[in-house]
Amino acid sequence: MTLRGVDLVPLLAGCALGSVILAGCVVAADDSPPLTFVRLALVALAAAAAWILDDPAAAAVDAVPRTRLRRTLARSVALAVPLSVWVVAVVALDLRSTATPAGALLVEGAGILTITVALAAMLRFAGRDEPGDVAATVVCAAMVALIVFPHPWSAHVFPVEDGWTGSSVLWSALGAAAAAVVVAASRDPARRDRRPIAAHREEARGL
Amino acid sequence: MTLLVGASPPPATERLTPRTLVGVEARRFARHPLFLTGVALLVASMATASDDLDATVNEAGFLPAVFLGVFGTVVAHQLVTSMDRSADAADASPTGRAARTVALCTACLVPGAVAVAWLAWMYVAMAVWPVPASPAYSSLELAAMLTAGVVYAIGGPLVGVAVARWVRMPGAGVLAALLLVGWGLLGTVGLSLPPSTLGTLARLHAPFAAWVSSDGPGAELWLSGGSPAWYLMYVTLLCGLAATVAELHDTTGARRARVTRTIVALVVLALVSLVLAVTDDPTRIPL
Repeated sequence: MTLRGVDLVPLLAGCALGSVILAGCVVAADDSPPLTFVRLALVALAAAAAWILDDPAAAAVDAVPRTRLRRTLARSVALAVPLSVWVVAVVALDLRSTATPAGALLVEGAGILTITVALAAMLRFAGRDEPGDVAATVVCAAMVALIVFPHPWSAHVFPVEDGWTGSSVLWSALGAAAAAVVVAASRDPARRDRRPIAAHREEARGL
Repeated sequence: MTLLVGASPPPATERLTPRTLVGVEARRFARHPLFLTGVALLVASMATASDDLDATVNEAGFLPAVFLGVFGTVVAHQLVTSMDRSADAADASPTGRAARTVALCTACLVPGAVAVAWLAWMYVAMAVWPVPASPAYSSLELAAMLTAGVVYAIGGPLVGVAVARWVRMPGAGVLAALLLVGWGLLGTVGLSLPPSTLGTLARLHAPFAAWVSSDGPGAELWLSGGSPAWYLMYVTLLCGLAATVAELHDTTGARRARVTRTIVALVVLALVSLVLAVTDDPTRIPL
């Protein structure tokens, strides 16, 4: 139902840009994949994923008898588009260049996409009905800063030569935490007050 | 009324309005969290790298290019789109959309001012921690390569304004920034080509150019061919092009024809500058 509410234009535009860059990477890959470009494509896919929770009609949709968590899960299906692009590209890179750390790149991509959605979910939880712009900006700025100017510590985040195992562990943990954040931040506004009904009654009597 | 205004200087309030508008937009730009983040990252990079400058100092323009230019693309786009949300109220004001676009483009000088401060700091750092002289480039060429950093810082936000004016799509600002980064990285492919005019063209057509590379890990660094001064002219003209394209969106009649002619002239001049930058000696000089 709410998957139709996902704005497909930014989603498909980001995926198209990521696909073009990844196609170039597959063509250009020789002994090893061009990881800087591959990760730039991942930035575009993350930007695409940031918009899946945008809901300009949130005020009306919040009133329907369906929990926000279910609507979030329905919208999260759209995440399959950038994730599919990433998986296909990594597999193609792996076929073209045997030095491709395919498993680690898959975990990295899944982790980043989940974190982007988690950030959007947190912003929505904070009251922003269209969190895509801010979420995409924050994730993309952080990734570009790390990719273009790598620091010694960022080698664990975006490894180039070695450290892939550590990176996979890191992205797995961050991805799992981000998934938990998505669930936690998708509670309906009306259910955030977890006090028992009796407490409310007592409070009302006191008034 | 038009004749009267044309015959005498405009009243003080009319002259004040564009200036006020520019001031408002400049303040909005300067207060944007992403711009402040970019400035903080630039300052942090300067603080950590200033005492460790070497012959590759000519590549330092990438810092303002990313932290002010690329980040600024998104900032400028968000400033324009946020203003569009109050378009009904704004359209009723005495200043038209074209004037607001000009004000936004002028506000893009804010990151430019920060980049000028960065440039000044680079020269101070080079005076305090002397950099070993390289025979690969003259002081004038070094100045051109570093000054390009200031132009990158202004160019990115101008692209953001142009994209926001022409593309009505959520996320267009972020995608435009990514396209700029991708275009810049694509230019680095030219460094892996053999030294030739074609290789120089592959590198210098991009809005950010890398000049130094090597033939492999641990190999000697070299400066690739091309004219830094003409490349600076090329990217400056690209900035003008972005601003004019942004302005074209809201102009009509005779003014639109004038802006279109300006765009054509800028394209021709940019191409001439690129050709002059590329046809310089492509020989690679060890640093």
